[in-house]
Amino acid sequence: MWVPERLVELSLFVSERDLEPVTATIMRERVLHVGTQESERWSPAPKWAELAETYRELGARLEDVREALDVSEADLPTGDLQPRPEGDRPDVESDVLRLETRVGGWQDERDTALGELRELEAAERQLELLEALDAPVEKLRNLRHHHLTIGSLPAENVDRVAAALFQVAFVLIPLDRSGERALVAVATAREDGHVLDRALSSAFFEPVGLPHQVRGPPDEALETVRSELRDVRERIGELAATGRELATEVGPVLRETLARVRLDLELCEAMRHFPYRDEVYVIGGWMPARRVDELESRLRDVAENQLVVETLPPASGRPSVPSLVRNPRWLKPFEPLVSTFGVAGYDELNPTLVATVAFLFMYGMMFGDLGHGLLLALLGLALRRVTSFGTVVVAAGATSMVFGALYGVAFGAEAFHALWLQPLHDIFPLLIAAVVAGVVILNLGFVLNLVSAWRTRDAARFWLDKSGVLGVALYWALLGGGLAVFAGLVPTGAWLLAVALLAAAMWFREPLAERMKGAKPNVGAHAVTGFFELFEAVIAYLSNTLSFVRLGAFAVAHEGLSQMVLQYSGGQTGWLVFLLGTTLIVGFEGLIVGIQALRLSYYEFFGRFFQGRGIPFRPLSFAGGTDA
Amino acid sequence: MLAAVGYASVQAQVRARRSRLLSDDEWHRLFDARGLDRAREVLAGTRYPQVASDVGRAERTLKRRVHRETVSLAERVPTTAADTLRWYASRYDVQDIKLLVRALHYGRPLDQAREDMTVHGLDGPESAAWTRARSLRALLQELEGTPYGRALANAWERYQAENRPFYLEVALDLAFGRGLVKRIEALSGGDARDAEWLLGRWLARTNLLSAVRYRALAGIRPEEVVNFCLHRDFGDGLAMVQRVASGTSVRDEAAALGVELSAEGDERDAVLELERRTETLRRDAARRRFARMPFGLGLVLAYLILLEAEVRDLIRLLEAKAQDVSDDDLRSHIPREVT
Repeated sequence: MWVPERLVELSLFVSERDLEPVTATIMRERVLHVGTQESERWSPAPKWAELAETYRELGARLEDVREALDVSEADLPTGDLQPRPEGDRPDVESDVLRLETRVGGWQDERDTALGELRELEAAERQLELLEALDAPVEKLRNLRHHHLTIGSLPAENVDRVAAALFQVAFVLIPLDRSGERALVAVATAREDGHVLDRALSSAFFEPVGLPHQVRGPPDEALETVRSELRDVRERIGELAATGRELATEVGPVLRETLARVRLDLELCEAMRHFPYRDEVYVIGGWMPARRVDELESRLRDVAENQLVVETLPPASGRPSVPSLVRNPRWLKPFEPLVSTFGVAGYDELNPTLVATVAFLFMYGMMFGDLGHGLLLALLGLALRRVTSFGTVVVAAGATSMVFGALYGVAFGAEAFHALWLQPLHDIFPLLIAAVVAGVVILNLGFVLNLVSAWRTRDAARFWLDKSGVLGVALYWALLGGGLAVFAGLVPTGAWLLAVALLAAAMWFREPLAERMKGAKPNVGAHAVTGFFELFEAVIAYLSNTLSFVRLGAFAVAHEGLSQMVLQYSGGQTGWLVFLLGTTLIVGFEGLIVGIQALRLSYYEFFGRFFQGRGIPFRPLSFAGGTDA
Repeated sequence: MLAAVGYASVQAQVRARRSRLLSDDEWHRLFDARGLDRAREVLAGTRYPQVASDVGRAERTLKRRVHRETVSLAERVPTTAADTLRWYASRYDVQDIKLLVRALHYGRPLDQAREDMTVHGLDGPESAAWTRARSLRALLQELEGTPYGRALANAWERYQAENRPFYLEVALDLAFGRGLVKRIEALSGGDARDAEWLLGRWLARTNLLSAVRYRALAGIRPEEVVNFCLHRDFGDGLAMVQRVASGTSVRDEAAALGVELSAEGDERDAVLELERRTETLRRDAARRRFARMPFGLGLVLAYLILLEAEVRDLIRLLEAKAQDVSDDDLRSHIPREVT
């Protein structure tokens, strides 16, 4: 829980003949985060990429059949299937072909009928518009002085065409704008015809002439088209019934083949990245150390040839090692408090528990109220039904209740004797307490940084970092020493000397760090930047500490606001004021307090020890699988 | 007030994320790095260790980060703003679809195209749907019902008639631009002002760039230029496009959009300068936004613009380091005030 799980770097040398079952087992176990291990002499074998292409195409063909027959893809039968892309291929290809052959004739007939339907419907629409015309439709096809064209274009492009024809005279008549495509008639002078055609084609216009067999007066032609439409619709109805029978007949085979294709494809996609040489593949990556033996035993069960397993502890400080953070179940709802900021690196501490405690403490202190805390907790309980975030709200409500008891406050009223401080009566002590809490939290950050640096054996960071030993010493020299001088316990001169010495060390910490790493430092180059860094560090110590004053300030503001609501809650409509005021306080102020607690965590606390630059551990797996 | 509540939680996250952008000191060390290997070492100590360990896929990794952050922030803002952000993120979909279109049209290896795709690469869960297309017609079917699918379907006949993927790409760009305009217009209050300032002005400048490129660099006829550009763009829109299509100067039009270009050089130079200034002005506007009202869509957009600029500069820097480009050249292509 305190550190990401210990991983080992695993290299599996697998015979080509065992690659499929070994990879499938790894994917089922969900324990290996694959890393890139290519070298000049080892490179991926192209056959898996090609096989993946084949399965992708087979999958697309099956999808066409599935969609045509409207067969459900939910709960495909994947349970007992063992993916074997090379071995499965002939059977799968033959199954797909058989399915296509069985369904193809019906599908072609249906597609033809649907095409006819679309064409006849378009002709019907055009003829309806021309119905009032007392002339044979074939005459419109040959005009002498004008360039006329009728057709459809995306509805949103009708106005664009008009704008594009800004250099010529034209007439544009929208005939039908009811669908996604609009039917329009556009005309211009014959000599400007080429401009019109360019404008139309660049607006993705498609001319729709009437079918050539349509001749004569529009009303007669319309009657003929409508009669043909009735026939086509009847034919489509019969084809739909045949389709349902076909779906019942081929559905089980179709679903099983589709499931097999998807598994084989996923396996190919995984294998296509594995480096290969002389009939041996190497599968490399990182996995939890505690599961190596178990995985090895399972792999040896499925491998028929020699399998070499090598494990190495990951080199310290290597940026590409993923981190597998495991928190207890009860802490999982609080993980977003950290993951929003970043992922703990492999060498870093996992700050979830500390961050949770700090967040809840700060939240409770700012929102301390027995009644409002209870409402928040109840709200959280309701939220838990839909999101795990509800647990965070419940916990925030609970700590608010604890602080409410310490403050003696319920719904803003001073309901009972405060166990600790009463925000509106003890403003100054509360603000001091808030700063003290800040000092504790900051120093917790210092300690965590020291632990982190110690674990990674980063001596420079441990001794010379702004949050390392030197930083802590300077912080306490400024804060503790300042207080001691104020109290007359330490002479001013001695204090100033100590601060000056520590400040000088901080000024030149970069050259010192380089010297510690064995490099020759360039003191001159660091002198200027070091001075500004020292300046920034001192300001940051001060501002970070004072920033925690808001813990007390918000507690005071909360009670003040709550008392104002109580004050206006008298009279007949008082309950409404109370209801609205309390809703506003719990909803709006509760949210703002949450943001402030997050802000303090991210800026003042996390920055001391947590970088959050880790790579999340993503095990190789089949889609829809669960952690083993 | 209610909008502020909606943005309350996201603003802490945006500020925390902004504090994790590369610092001036880190940029300074990246600029000073001698060669790609040294730049990788510097990068390994920043928030981009993954990029350092696999420079070959840096562009994809970095763009994925921008996309992922845009989508994750969209989940935390009010509905209308979320819709705008998601649409803004879909420009990566457009880029990926274009890659696929070109690969399918020119018969290039699909595997390579998929490897180059930002969002819908092979290991992306949503990739399966349209990366499996093995022909342009199949791609159209896979995208059916989506806004970009409709755009491709509209341009399909013209593509088939002339066998040029250019029309499909124009249709995709137009669909993105028009979708973004629609979504910005659906916003209200401070969000609308922010979106117009940070996205709308950028859209107007890129629309001008498109119009000029079509006319001056591609030699496209006026009526087609008008059809291939946005008519609403939070600038002068259609009127600007018609003026450019008729031959007006790019410098005059840029000045109308608040970008004074140098009088030297030909139109091609002016276009290049406008491209650079568009990036710089957008980044400056984003920086300024952080000094204003802490709640609102503007803060999220400003962060995303800064992140995008960082990613763009980082990609350029790595390419330049790999090719041993001189310091002066590098700095002229990366407009950062790092000394």
